[in-house]
Amino acid sequence: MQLFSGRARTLESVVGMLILLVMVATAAGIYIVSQNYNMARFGIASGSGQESGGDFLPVGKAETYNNDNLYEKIDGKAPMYQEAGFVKLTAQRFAAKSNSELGFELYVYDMNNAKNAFSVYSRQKRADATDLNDLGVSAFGYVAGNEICISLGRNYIEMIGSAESNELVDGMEGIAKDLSAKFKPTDNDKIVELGYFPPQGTVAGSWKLQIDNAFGFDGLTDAYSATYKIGDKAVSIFFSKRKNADEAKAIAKNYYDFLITNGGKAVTVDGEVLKSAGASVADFYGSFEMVFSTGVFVGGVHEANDKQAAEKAAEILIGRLKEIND
Amino acid sequence: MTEPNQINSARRQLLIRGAKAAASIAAAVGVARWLYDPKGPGAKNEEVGFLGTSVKGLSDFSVPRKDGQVISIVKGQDRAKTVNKAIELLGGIERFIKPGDVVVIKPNVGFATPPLLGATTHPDVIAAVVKLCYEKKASKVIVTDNSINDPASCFTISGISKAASAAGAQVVMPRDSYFSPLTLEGGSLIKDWPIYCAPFAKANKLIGIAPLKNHHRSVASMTMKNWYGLLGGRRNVFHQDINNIIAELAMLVKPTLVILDGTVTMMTNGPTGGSVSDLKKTNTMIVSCDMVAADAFGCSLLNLKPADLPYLAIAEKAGVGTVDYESLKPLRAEVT
Amino acid sequence: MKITTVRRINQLFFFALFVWFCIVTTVGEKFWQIRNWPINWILQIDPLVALGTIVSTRKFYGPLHCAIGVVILTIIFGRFFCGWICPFGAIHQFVGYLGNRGKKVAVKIRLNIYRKAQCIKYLILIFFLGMAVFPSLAGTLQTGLLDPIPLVTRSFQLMLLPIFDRGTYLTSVNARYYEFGWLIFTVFATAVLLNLFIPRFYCRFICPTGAFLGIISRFSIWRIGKTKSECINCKMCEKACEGGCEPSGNIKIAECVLCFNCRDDCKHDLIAYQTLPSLAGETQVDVSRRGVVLSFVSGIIAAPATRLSGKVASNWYTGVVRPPGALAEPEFLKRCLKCGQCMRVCPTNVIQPAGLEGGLEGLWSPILNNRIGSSGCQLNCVACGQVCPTSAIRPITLDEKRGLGDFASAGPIKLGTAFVDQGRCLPWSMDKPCIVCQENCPVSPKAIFTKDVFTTVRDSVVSIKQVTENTIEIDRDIPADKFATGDYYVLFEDGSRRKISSNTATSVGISEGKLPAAAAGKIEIQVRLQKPCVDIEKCIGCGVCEHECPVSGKRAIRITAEGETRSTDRRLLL
Repeated sequence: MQLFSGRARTLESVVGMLILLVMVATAAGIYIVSQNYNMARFGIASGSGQESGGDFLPVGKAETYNNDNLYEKIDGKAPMYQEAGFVKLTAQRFAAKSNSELGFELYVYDMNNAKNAFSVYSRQKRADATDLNDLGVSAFGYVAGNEICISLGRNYIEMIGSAESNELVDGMEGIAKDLSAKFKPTDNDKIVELGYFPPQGTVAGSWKLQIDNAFGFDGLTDAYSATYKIGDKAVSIFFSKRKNADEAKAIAKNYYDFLITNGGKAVTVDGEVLKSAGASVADFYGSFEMVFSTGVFVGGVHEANDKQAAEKAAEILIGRLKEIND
Repeated sequence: MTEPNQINSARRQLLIRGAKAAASIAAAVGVARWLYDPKGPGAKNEEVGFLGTSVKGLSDFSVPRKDGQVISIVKGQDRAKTVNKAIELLGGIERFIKPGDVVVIKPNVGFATPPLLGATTHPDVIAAVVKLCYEKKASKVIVTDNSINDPASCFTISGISKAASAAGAQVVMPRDSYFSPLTLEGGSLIKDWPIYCAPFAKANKLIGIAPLKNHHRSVASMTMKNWYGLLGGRRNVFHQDINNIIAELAMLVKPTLVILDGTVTMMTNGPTGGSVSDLKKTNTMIVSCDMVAADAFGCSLLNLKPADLPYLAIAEKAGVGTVDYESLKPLRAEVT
Repeated sequence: MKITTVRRINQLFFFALFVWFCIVTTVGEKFWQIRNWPINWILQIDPLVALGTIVSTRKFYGPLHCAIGVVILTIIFGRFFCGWICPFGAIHQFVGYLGNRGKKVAVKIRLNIYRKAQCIKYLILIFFLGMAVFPSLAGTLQTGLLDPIPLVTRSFQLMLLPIFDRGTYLTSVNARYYEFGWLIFTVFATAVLLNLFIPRFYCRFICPTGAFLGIISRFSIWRIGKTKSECINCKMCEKACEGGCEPSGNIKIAECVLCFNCRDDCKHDLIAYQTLPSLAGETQVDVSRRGVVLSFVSGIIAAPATRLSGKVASNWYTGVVRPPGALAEPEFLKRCLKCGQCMRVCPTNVIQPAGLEGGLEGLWSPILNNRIGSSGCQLNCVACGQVCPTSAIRPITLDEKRGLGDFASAGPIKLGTAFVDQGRCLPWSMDKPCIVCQENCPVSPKAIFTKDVFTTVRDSVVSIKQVTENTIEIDRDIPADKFATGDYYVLFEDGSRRKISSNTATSVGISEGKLPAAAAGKIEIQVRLQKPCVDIEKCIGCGVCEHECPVSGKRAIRITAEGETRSTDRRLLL
């Protein structure tokens, strides 16, 4: 077969075109390949050589605990986790490469949902905590002394170091970042209620969620509380969202009755806003407790030292909850 | 037998040849005269050094001094916040940067290590300062250093290239042609030595930003040692007299501001570090118009006394600044 | 469209691609920097690279898989690689065209006749394969010396680019240096200039890749040939014949590079690309059996002959420090193509083409020279292994290089060990403080530590004349101002020391601390020296200390390959 004899000019052109097409395709392929790059491959990339937690390695096997044997691991604290919806605990020890004495233990509590995780996180948050900021969507974390605690989606995570050292805290932060990439919270895990607090004045990070038996009253469940600043005075405010307005009203009344039954003294309420919300105040052994209902919300102030500040904070909270109701 | 016109033609050719020969001789003599050098090279060529024309010194980038607003010390973890606060305490960026200014930022980009390890100036501080400069309408901000390790690798791995470019600054890598020999008046070490001059040629403001590091030879590397980066050539010979060279550099450079980032301090294994275990969180940002004072304060974060650093006393004696920083009434604040 | 035009476009394209790949072999993220450009692609499709490494290692290294495509296409179509793709071939063709422009047709025809000497390239190929084939006889891969793709790659990467980039600074911040570049350049220039005598001289007489493709193209299905046995014998078909394969008579298919010029130039349309052999007949290239056996045996003997130097045994040259991830020397020499990619990509320019330091077989292989470039081997860089086309330098990760993560138990990769030359070192030998090496050691904790001592300065034992407050007046002149650097101390007779804060020709001043009560008699001026020592367990041989050492000629601290990770016989540690 003659592919091109001297006379086959048309065939020659067609083959020529085909070859040029292959050439163009080669160029395109090379360009496409070149665009998919990762400079870290060469080492010379922004921040390469960073040892994110790399200085600490797991020691031994991870241990898991369930409802039946949780007490073996954490003993006294077990009921608190179990009441908040505990499912499973995974624990793993890490030690520094350079020094096996230096290390920390990682606890990952599967709490079934984000609210439960956040509840145990917020209730145990230490006063000397420094918040961790860059963990991602709807994740909360803090460092305090030799501890790092994180609420991440349905998981509550604790890392407890064997000593107070910067190296250790950096190592734990590295692991925290790895974990936050691993257990990425979804939009479903977002705790929208935290947004119901008045945006101005609420101290960020001071949020607390009590799933049940809030402030010792077993009728008050799913109560969110936070510190609110009135000038230089801090007041603890709270609310709980109910099924309907009637239930909210009933709980407000029951809670007030609970306070009075337990030794609280009724105090008169000042201000139109508070009266319209049916607010009642009790002087509870020297501090003020207030409870009201507005729409589907029960709300109030807890353990305030200053009645005026408490009333002011309550007014602002009522205003905010009304907005949410609408 | 020869025809007259042939003779004429031969004559004409001779005349033309003669003229060309005369011109060639004149040219040869002329060139020889023009380039004639009767003495040969002298012991030292005064006019033009081996590296090119010698320059006298660097411009003065400082701004008028205001007593009580010389140095500020701000505690906090977030570098952007602390550096902003510290500059605000000194009278705000408008005291230092005027619209249209060309600002050179001289960080320490000596090593090809990531920001986490603290051997180089943290990119967050650089980005914050670049942004401040542009807020006051600086026309251009240049970020540059003459690195110790490979410059391209240093600027990339330290994250400084990325942060500075993102903030709009121009990142300049050191090139051999950017150095000019310079002699410091009143100095004994900086004599006809190549100095990194080109990036400063068109600038009118200079900000030095240094990390706070342990240094085996000079005890500590802070804002004054940061100017070592301006030395070119085989500058390491100056390590034989490290204290005087640091002091002379401080005499040579008159910056607008120096920033000492003590958010993290390299306590051991300096100045390269290499491990997070060499670092300590000290959460302090120092901004100062007086680099001696800044470094004297910096000593405290390294658990040293100013007397441990002989170059501080030498520089003070030369009138560069004040070792007793408390006498300058530092402005203090804390940000969270 | 003429097929010869298509061929020229194709050649231009591959040449441009080759130059582009050379330019982008620059570490960085811009589009003209390395990203993920397949910079080794042309090396990887070079069939001799694949064949050579297969013969030397008995394995077909994965990234070279494209070469099999070239082999298959050559078996079907003939030596298209030489005439259509090879960038070195394109250069020869272009220079040959320039050099012979304007010559008479008869002269051109004579230049392109088939010569018996064209068999030399087959002998070169066989010689190189002979050198590679027996591992027990020190098999070593030397095809890269003359394989056109590695040759043109190193010539561009290490010579032409650095020359043309002086001033543009496109591929590096400062001018780059390559110590044995002059020899690379000489070989390249000679190969190119030979085209002025005979076009495609290199391709016809020397190229081992062409020889390999020639051998496998003998069975090609389509081939150039005459469609009639008889013609007017004008020989116009040989006027521009690139291969010198004699299309007018008994064509040598193995020499044909598919330039198609003969077909274009035949005024009678008697030449075609066809499945039939030429009707005028075909003959094989005249390679004698004796020649084949002789070159093969020579190759087999040449390999151990080069090893007689002992450079790969106990006489290894101390300066042969290989890049991080390089295989053990014998394995390394079975894979290294001397292509120069590692030397070009190295951001610090510390990787250099070797001369004869590593033995004859190590010519142009990569070694580290810490006196060249911007720094030693950078701790956080693994670019060289990532670009090595044959894995002579393995593509290690940063974790492996640094001994982090999964490699923690293996520890960091050591290139060698730093040795302090105490006779040249300022603190050790000249009583001058320095320790630049210690300062720049990037390892944590530092592999260089110091022994701190006080040494009495020459001619500085003097008597105290008088003491006033903090100034000691002395009886003899000392150099003024020399001792106020913070490094000098006064040693008193009671054994106590004070730092000198100032001095004149006849006095020394002390600012810190009180003078000892019994400050009388003689004093000595002492200098505090920190003498550098190397901790060989920590040292990774990166060479930053050597690069920074202020003793700028022969450095006072130098890396040699003792203790390198890749070999067991050079170890130093117990």
